[in-house]
Amino acid sequence: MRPTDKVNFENLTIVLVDDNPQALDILAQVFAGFGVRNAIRCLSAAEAMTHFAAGPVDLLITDAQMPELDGYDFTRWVRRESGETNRFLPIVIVTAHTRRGDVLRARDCGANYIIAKPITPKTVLDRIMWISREDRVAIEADSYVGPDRRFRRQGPPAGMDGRRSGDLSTQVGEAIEPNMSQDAIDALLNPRKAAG
Amino acid sequence: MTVVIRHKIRNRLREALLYGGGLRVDEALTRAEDNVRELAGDCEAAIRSAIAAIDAQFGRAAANRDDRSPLELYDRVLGIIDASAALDGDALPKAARSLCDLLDHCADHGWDWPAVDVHINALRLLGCEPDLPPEAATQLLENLDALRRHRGVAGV
Repeated sequence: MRPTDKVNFENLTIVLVDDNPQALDILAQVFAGFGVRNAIRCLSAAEAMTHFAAGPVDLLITDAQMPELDGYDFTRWVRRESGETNRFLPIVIVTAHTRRGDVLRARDCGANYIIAKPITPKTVLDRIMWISREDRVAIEADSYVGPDRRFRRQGPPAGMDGRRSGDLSTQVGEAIEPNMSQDAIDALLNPRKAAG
Repeated sequence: MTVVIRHKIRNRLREALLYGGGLRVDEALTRAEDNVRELAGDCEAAIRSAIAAIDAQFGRAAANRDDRSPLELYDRVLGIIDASAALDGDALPKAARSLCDLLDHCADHGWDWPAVDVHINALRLLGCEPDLPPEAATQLLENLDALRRHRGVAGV
């Protein structure tokens, strides 16, 4: 993503869920800066559920740790019970900390990405751009409903940084050294007697 | 037999985001960062107040702190991580996450007060002492890492 690229958040409907009003303010400020006009703020998953019946939602950002229904179970609800309109919408979970007992729930809930708090506008925008550029199919099975999790082998989208130092993009760029000659290729392929 | 259905999903986000109008990425980021910075004063106050509450309920002088659950403290520490989004530097949220790892461990194995006390002191220093030199903050975090390793507390 280049600094001069343009993004248009104006017509998106985004639902933001966090039980901590201050964290919700921070999220809302980030999306206001991005130019979002329709950010629906919810202090609980139960409150957010009412908006899913009202019409299409383009993006859900939810906190992980919330009383009653947490972000992982809320994501499962969206994927399985929210209705056809929104069940496969992009979901980003933000979490201050993941308890060891929650790691598998986080992996299996069906979110597109999980972002560690404290959030930064750059990380949020990066992940949203990743989602917007990827063509992952959605998987529906008894044990899992959500984006295909086997995408990681494909590396980050072209032109974007990976999440880990070893991430490589699948895009093949310009060659950085001359092509091998045919003789050199033949020499690699032809069996030769071992010396000595 | 497990049935797996693959759905090809229309990417509404791409359609809305990338086609026509809007803001330049650098402009969007600057505006968002400025917006978040507006909350810095409130967030700083919230962090100080959370640390004071933690001190009162879970500090060395707190009465009956053994009767409380590590998860009560865990929830309070999450609030510190939330609020630090509006502040510069990452030492405070790192120390807070270290305490969360420790408390997650304590929830299964019981309180480890000496380690918790060290973490509360670190939060107090990092959250309430604006003049703390960066080298001291780095050293503090290294000590917390060493302490967690010594106690067999694994981070997630």
